[in-house]
Amino acid sequence: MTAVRLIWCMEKFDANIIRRVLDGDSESYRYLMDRYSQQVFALVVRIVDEPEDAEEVTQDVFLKAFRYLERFDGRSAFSTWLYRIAYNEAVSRTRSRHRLESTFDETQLRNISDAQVDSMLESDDGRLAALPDAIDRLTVEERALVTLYYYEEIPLREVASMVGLTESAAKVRLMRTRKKLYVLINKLTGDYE
Amino acid sequence: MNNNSPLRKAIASRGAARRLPADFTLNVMSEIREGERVRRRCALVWSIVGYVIAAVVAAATLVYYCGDMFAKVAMETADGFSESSAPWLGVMTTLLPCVVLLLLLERFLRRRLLLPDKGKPVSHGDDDRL
Repeated sequence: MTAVRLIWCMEKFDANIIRRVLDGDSESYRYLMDRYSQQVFALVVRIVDEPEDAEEVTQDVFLKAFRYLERFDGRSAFSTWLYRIAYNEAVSRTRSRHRLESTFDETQLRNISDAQVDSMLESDDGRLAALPDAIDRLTVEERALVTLYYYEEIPLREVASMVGLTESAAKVRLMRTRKKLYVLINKLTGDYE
Repeated sequence: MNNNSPLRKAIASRGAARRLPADFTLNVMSEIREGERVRRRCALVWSIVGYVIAAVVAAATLVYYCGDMFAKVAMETADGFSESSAPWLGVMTTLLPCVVLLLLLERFLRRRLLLPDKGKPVSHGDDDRL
């Protein structure tokens, strides 16, 4: 069975379960939870500041998805819709904590080329050890963007729709985030003034 | 995206050791069940409110348009009661069917709306195996 056919079958199965839940069989919702809870949790735990919050956020995601299930129109995959809710929940939870984030000089970011960022990410000079700390210092939206694109490997068009941006705006923000990571890594390793 | 890319590895390392507890689904499902119970109760209350408003509107409309006719019938019935040798018999023959009808209606509503799941086994899906 090809991957496309498998995805089609899974989406069909999801649609069937959703119809049953909407018809009043709320117990069927557990199949959707069993299938997607670990995936949603894996996304949320990488976006929120405090990993301890991830379980609560994941729970809120599934409760909200159940409450608004009738609004799912089937134009995207159920997982995409669920990820959109997870993104919104994780971002609003993290924003409410009023974390102090690093400020950046825009001209400083503009002077960094994509080639510089690529060469640093491909280098093996020890600076990359600071990458996890640099990711911690990104804003929650930026962290969500890199997680969805680089970790979940979701196409940019879908990522853009999840985070409420146009595809070109998402691309610009992704490039900017990479440059921020470059600056942060250099600051953390003492190579940058 | 290459699986060995440093960016992917760094993101993957965030909270990698964390997993959802095994009873996560059970907890969320029990919360959903509770929410559904509350929602159904609210829906019932609102449907009763709706029925009451509809009944009041229907009665008001009838009284407004047919009030004179009802008053005439009531007067004639009252005259009939006072003329009869046993007025309580007339009252009983009018009130008794009304009471029986109201009791039957109450029983129907209680069976159909208030206790819809009475007698049905409660399903917890796969939890039944536990």
